Amino acid sequence: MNATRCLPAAAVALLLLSGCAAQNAQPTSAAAASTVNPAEADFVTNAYQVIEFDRQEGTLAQTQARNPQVKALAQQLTNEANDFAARLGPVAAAAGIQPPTVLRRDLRIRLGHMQLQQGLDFDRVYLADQIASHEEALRSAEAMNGAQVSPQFAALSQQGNELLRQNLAKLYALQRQMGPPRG
Amino acid sequence: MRIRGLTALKLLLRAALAGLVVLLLAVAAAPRAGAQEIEPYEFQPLPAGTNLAIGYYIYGHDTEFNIARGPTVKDSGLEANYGVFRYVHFFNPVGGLPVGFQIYQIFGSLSAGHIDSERLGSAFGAQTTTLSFFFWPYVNRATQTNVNITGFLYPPDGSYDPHSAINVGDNRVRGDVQVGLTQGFGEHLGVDLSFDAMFYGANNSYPPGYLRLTQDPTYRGQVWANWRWTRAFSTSIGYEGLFGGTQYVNGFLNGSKTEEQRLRANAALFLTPRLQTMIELNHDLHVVGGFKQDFGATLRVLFVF
Repeated sequence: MNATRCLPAAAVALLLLSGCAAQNAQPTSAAAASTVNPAEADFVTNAYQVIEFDRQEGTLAQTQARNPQVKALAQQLTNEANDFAARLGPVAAAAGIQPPTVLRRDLRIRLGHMQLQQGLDFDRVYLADQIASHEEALRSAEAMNGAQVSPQFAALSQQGNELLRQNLAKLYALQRQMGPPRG
Repeated sequence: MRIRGLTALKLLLRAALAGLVVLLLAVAAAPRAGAQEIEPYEFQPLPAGTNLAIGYYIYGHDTEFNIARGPTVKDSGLEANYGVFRYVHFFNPVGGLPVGFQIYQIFGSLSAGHIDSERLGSAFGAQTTTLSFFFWPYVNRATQTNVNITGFLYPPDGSYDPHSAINVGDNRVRGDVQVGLTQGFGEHLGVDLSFDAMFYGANNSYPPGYLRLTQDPTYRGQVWANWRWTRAFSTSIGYEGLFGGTQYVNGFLNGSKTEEQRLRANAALFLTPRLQTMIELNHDLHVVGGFKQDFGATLRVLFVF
């Protein structure tokens, strides 16, 4: 028996794992210099999550959704997410805030299931996912009400909240037609 | 009298054969549980940043032993009990291609090993660590097609005793390249196909002393036909075939190779969106150059984080 021979590979593995963990821990929230307004950094983080989630699920919907109305709404949400990202990017950069690079854990899991489900009940699950992410984004926005942010961020926040409310209404309307996910 | 003489001769030959087998086929008892053995939906890319922690329990009940180009020794057996820890991480795509890393550590025991009347003893410990990188050169969600390429490297660690007839580790470097395909058909039906080739370094501490073991590459084909009943529950039937892997000790055939045909059945259930349980039952239809697994079972728990 030579159990000690396990050590080099195990050590390498641990280093790799710790590297992965480090890589994984950082990018779900915005990276910001110490002088940055924390409320603005939170806004960028929350906005990134809903933008990226809309983009990725919207892309899946173009190939996996069955209902034309769901496809159309997914395309609209994707386009609006892209537009909002284009407006947010320069404002965040000017404030010294770097958006995160990967989705938050719960959104990754939802997205992973959408990828795995390959068409099965996709439309209903998509609507439920989008309603959940929009409601959560609105809650985060409301929690930030009253925080001291620059006029640019305040304007973006207002536009974003209006967009979220409008889209949430559309999502609810479509969900009422189709019903909640099965199973 | 003649009959009794023949019987005695047969018994003598059988005992001699079993002794020879134990001498030369020591590594044949090394575990067949390997990282290349896929489960259904193995080749689905997941979002960047996703981590999977996967635990397996693998049981194997072997009932006979075949010597390549030789007879099958019916009165043989081996009990395998393994635990596997596997960690998988999906990185941000590189050049638009989903990529990831995984590491496996298998540990466990081999016990009640015997070939005819010859006892093999038992072994306990860690199998070789498996380091692996994978990527998808082709993903088409519209046609439900994913093509995956995975590389595996096995450094020569793991528990190994050069004087033991059976070992959990195998004291040599191994490498493997696997190509996998997932193809969906509509909302319920899908297939997974994979082919891999394993290449072996030499083991210069082969029992009963310090002999040199070399081995031809092993080629493996696997297929799963999957049916998704609900978003959380699926069942599958599968086939696994291994070919090649002829072994040589100091340049001479030792009667061991990796030729095996296996039937598999699988059921998987997501208890929550983050937690999946799975069971697989399997049976070897045909084995050349090793133990035949009459009954095998794999339990898996997968946690997404």
